[in-house]
Amino acid sequence: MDYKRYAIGDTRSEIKNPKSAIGNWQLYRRLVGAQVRSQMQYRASFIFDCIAQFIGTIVDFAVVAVLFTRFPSIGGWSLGEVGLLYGLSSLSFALADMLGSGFDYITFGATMVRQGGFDQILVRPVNPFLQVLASQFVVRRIGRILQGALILAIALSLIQVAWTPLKIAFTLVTIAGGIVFFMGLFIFGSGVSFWTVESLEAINIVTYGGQMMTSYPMHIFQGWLRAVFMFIIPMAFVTYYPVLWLLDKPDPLGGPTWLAFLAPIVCLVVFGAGVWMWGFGVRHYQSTGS
Amino acid sequence: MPLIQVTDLRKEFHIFKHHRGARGAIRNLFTRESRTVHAVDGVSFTIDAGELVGYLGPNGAGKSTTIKMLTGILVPTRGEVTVAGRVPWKQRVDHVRGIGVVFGQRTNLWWDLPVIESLDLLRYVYRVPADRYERNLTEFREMLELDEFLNTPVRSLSLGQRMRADLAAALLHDPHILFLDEPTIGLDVVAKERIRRFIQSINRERGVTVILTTHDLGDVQKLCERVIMIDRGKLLFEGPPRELVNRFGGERELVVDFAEDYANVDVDGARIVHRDGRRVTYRFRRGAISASELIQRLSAKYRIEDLSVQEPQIEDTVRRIYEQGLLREKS
Repeated sequence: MDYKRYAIGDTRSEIKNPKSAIGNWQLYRRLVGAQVRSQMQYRASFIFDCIAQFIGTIVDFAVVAVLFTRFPSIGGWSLGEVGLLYGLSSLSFALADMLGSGFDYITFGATMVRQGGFDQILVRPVNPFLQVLASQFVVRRIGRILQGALILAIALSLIQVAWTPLKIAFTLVTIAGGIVFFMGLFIFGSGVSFWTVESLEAINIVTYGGQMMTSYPMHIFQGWLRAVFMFIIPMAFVTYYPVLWLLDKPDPLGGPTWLAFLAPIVCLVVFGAGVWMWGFGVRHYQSTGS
Repeated sequence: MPLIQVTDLRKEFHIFKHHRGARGAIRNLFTRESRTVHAVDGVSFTIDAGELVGYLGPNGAGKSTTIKMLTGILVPTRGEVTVAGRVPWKQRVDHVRGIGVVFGQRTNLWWDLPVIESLDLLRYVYRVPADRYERNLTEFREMLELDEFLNTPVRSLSLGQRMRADLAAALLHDPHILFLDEPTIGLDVVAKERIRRFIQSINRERGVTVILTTHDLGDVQKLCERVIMIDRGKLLFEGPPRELVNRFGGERELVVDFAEDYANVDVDGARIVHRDGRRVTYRFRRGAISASELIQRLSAKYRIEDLSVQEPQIEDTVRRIYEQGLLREKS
C-alpha cells in the first residue's frame, strides 16, 4: 500500500510549516480568533461581564483608598505609591488571566483531565501546550485590564518619579514579568491537576491571593510571610522590588537595589517551573489515561 | 506488510485503594495500597490496509485502552505497536497527522462555533491544502448532507447531525486510518443506516482502513469483514463475523404453522419453546440436526401449512459468549 499517497504538507499549501514559529503563531491566531468569535456570540452576557469586572475591581481599589482616608500612609507608603503597586499587579494579572485561562486548573482539571478532553488534544498534530494556550482567550477580562491601567494611570499622576527612558522601559518589563509570573503559576496549577482528582482550591490562594499580596508593600507583612514571598513563591519580585527601584526608595528591609533587576529572571524561572510541571503532568496522563 | 501491527500489547493500571470516612481520609495520605489491573493483557493482531475491522468486547474489556494505545494517547506497559511503520506515542505528531478519530461521546469540533468554522479551523490544524480541502468538503457535504446544518453551532446539533459533522471533520485531512469509537450509539435507525453507508463507502472507495469499536452488532453485521473480540484484556476471537455465529451461535429456530390442531407435536431432535394454537416454535442445535432433516421429520408426521427457519442473531451469539464466557475457556 502506498502510504505516500496520504502524506500531508504539499508545497502548494499556503499554510506554513508546522515546525516553524510563524506556522504556530498563525495557528494560535486562528484558534484564538475562533475563541473570541464564540465568546462574542453571547453578546449581552459579554458586555455585562466586562462592566461587572471593571466595577468589581474598582471597588477593590476603593477599599484601599478608603483605608488611606483613615491612615496617612501604609508602611510609610502614600496612596499613590501603593496605587502603583496595585495597578501594576492588577494589570499584569488581568493580562495573564486573559491569555492563560486555558490553564485554569479548575476547568482544565474538569474538562480535560477528568472528562478526558485531553485525548482530543493528543489526537491533533499540534503541540498540546499551544492548543491549551489558545483554548481560552477571555476577552471579557478587558474590563479588568482597563481597570488596572486606570489605577496605574491615577497612581502615576499622584506620585513624583524621576522618569528616564530606562525607567519607562523597566516599567514595561515589570508588567511583562508579572504576566509571565502569573501565567507560570496557572500553568503549574494545570500540571498538578493531572494528578489530583479533587480540585485544588489551594492554588487559588497562590494565584488570586498572590495578586492581592503584590498589591501592597512587602514590608508590611510579617517576617515569615515575607520569606515565603521572597523564596518559595517569589512574589516580592513581581512588583515590590521593581517599584522600590522606580521610586528610588531604599528597601526598608535592607535589600540591595539590584534585586529589582533580578525580577524578570525570577519571573522567567517561575514560568519555567510551570512549564516543567506541565510536561510532567502530560507524561503522567499518557501513562495513566483519564 | 500489515498497516497495523500489535504484538503482545500490555497495559497495567495501578488503582490505589481509597479508604472511606474520616479515618480513611487520613489513611489515604499515608498508606498507598494499590492493586494492579491488567486492562490489556498480551494482545496481538494485525490489520492490513483497506480492512474494515470491528473491535468488540463487553464493557471494561480493554477496548478503549487498546484504541488509545493505537492512536498514541496512551503509552503501553509492554509490547509493541506499529502503525504505518511508526510507533504512535513516540512519533505522535507524524502519526496523528495520518489518522482520523471519532469519539462517540465527545466531539472533535468547537462547541460554540458553526460547523463550517470548525472544519475551517481543522483545516489549519491539519495543514490541509486549499484545493484538497475544497474537494473533500464538497464530497462530504453531499454524502453526509451537511448543508442542513453547516452554519449551525455544534451545541445546537442533534446527535445524528453531530456524528455526521464529526465524521467529515475526521476525514478532511485524508487520513489513511479511521478510528471510530461507537459511532452509531444513540442514533435512530435511519441515521444509523446513513452513517454505515458512509463508512462503507469511505472504506471501499477511498481505501481508508477503518477500526470500529462498537456494541451495535448491526454495525458489525453490516460493515465488518473481520471482528476482533477482546474480554478482560485478552484476545478471544479473530475472524469473520459469520464464523463467530457458526461456532458459537446458539440454537436455530424453526417456526411451523400446522394445517390442523395436533395434540402432540413433539419431534425428535428439537424442543418446543413456544406454542400458540397452530403455530409452534422449535429450537434445534446446528450440529445435532440440519434444518431440512427436521422439516422432513415433521412433515412425515404432521401436515404443515407454512414454516420459516430463523438464524441465531449475532446479538444472541455475542451475549452468550459474554455471559457464559464461552471463549474464555478456549483461550
